[in-house]
Amino acid sequence: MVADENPAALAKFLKIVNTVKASDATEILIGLLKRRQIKSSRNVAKAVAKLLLRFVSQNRHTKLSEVNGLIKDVRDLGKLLVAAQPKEMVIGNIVRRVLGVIREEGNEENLHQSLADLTLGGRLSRASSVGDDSSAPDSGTVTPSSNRPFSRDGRDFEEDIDDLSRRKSKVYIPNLGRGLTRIGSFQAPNPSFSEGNLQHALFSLLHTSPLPIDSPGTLTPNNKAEGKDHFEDKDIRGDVIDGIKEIMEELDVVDEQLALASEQHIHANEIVMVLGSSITLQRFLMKAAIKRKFIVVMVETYPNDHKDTQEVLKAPSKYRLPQSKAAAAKITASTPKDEPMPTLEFKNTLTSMGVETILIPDSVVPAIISRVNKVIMGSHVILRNGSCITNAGAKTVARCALQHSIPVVVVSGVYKLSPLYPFDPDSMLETGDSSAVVGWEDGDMVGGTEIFNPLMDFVPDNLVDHYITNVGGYTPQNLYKLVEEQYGSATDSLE
Amino acid sequence: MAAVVVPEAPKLQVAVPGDGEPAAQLDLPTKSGVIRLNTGEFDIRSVYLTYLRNDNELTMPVAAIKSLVDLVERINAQTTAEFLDVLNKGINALKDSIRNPISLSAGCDLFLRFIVRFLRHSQSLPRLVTHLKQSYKLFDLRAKDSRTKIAKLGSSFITDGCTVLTISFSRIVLGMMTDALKKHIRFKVIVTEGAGGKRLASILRSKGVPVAIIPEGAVGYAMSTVDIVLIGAEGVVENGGIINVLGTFQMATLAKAAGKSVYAVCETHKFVRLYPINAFDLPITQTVVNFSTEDAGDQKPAEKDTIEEAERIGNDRFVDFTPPTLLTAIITEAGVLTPSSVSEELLKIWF
Repeated sequence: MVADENPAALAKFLKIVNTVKASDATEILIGLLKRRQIKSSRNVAKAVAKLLLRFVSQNRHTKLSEVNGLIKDVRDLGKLLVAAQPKEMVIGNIVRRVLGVIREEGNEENLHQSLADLTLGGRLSRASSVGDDSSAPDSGTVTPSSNRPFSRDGRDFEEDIDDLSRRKSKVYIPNLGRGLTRIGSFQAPNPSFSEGNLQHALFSLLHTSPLPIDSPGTLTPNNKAEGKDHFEDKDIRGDVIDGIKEIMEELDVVDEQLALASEQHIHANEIVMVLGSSITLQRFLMKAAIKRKFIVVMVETYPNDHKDTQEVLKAPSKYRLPQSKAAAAKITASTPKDEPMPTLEFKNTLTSMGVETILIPDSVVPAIISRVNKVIMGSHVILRNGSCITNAGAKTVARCALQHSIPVVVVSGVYKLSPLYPFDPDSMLETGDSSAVVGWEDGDMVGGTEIFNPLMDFVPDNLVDHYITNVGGYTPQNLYKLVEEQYGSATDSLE
Repeated sequence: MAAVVVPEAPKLQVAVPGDGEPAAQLDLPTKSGVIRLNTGEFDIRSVYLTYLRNDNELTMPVAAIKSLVDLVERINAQTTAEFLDVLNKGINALKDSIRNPISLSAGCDLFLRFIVRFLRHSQSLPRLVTHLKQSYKLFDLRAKDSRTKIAKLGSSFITDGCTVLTISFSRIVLGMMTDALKKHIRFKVIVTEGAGGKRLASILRSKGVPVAIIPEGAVGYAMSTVDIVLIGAEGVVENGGIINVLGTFQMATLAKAAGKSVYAVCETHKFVRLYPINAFDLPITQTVVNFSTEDAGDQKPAEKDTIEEAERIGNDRFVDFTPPTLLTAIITEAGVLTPSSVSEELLKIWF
């Protein structure tokens, strides 16, 4: 959301990360984060994902049996990065996503448990794990939703074995959970993740699995150990790396995925108030502008984002591609591979596409808002309870919109969704350079007044009506489901 | 199966703990809470009350589940249908014999759902009994486990220097505060005086927490000094509202008006399948509002002195219903939930 003043820093980091040791790269990134040289959510996310890729590929833990070591190492790295820039919550998100990937790979180990309690306990835990199988009358059928390898939903053991052998052969079969990155795939929430959550929790009082069951049918420990030897040498590094690459891929395509939804949200002849100048928002609006005729009211967001906001309206913009092909080729060559390729629509700005655009100062928002049909804003981070942190000024806009019952829509990639709960929202907000408000040359003001420049606003969940993410639309009340789907039930503390 | 079947709940003031009041229903046994099995009589009410009396820490749903396990062990049924029939009778007898069965009915329903699901997966009856016997000892453990989990999770809401407003005595809220104390967080507590509030105050004061006891009428007065409202819950209903001691509703309303966050704290086994719109929809009879033309007919307040005993057994305090719109979130061992997610979770186990 915060416009990146120094995209070159990211490009440089992405280039050198492959040439140095992971530990050195970590130091470099920590420095960049501390100095705020990498700033926007997405660039931070990209840098962290890239670093994690390098880190995992160089980590000494590669085997399935060492999965806990790998998780610990990644978590420790995550702690370092979060400590470097605690207000950039995207760091934590990406680290947790990667931890989720590793856990999922490590889940193969769980098979041994399910082998063990298969005869009696397995069935019991199935009976208690509820959910999926309740809808299917026959517990033996494969429901289309049960796509995760070792979820103990109502599937037969044979299929678990099937999955196992498939995994053993080196073919990588992406599963639903991470299939989210596929372009335009608006999928139903992955039910398998919900296994460990509340629905389970309702029955947790009664279910069996932690209980040793002395039944003649249970596999003996010997069998168990035998089975374990067989699998624990399996190399999971490749799978984890694939998972991280999918996350990186998602970061590249997220804008396009979001833009696909724009036509459903912006209708003909609507007046839309827009807050924020992010590329995500621009693409969203421009995609809608291809088919729809609407009026955009841009909020200036002085003093931190007003220049970027104006850039969005002006042609040529700083985001604009050079028109000549040669220059375009040059850009392509100089852009590192991991950078997203600017798409064609980016040659244009909103104004050049014929969208009527009105730029207003922040102070007139209350006056204008009654004329507006909808408020669209970007976000810096979305929190689990449905509140979000956005550019300073957003709360004013959202409050005004609530007063006039105007829907507030937040457009944001799912990578910005944090599984954390805002216990103390004020601590999450960032304060910036006060010279943006009053310059240092104004001696009287600098000497005599205290000047604040908050960069962020905390917009509570009751002020937001809808979140548009690249995996579909969610109301603030239902975001917790998306959190479960993205991160699973385990929440790692990275503080 | 209806969630709560209480056609004629006995009135609040009538009963003295211990002797069951004679119920007039025809198909019920002579003494309420007693069911006839082919192996003899089983007084589920006294079993339930004994569990609650013996263990201060036991919640009502868990006590209900434990007494139902006792019942299951005594059922000598040939068919599943017969078994379920007797079990249902037992559940109904228990619900009918307790004055406010909302909380315990959550446990009964959960237990019934579990058994139906268990049997559906072609488990035989003897296996079910074996399984229940095995996990019997774990019930308390797990229930307490979830309480510590909630305490850990919820204590993050108590921040340094904040003032917490709470109502009556709730073990789980006390647990959260104790956990916050362990983290060396300094906070102040305001508690209303009724329904065990004094007990909470004395426990907290002995731990060095500054506590103010205020009358119920001063909640609005004190609200401006409050940072966060933490309330326990007897039950969480399907729409995400909570059932709790009388006064919770007005406290939540005042907090909402003042823009303070209201968090309900509750284990997930207290989720109950009810959908009340207001307190008069609750399936219990309460004599809170009594119109009378005579002074003598004035309503006596709920007996506060016996609350400790009452809380553990008959639960004879008045309750009210707090709608979900007044709650910021519900803190459970499964995480911090929005009120709207409660119904979804309930639906998952029921359908």
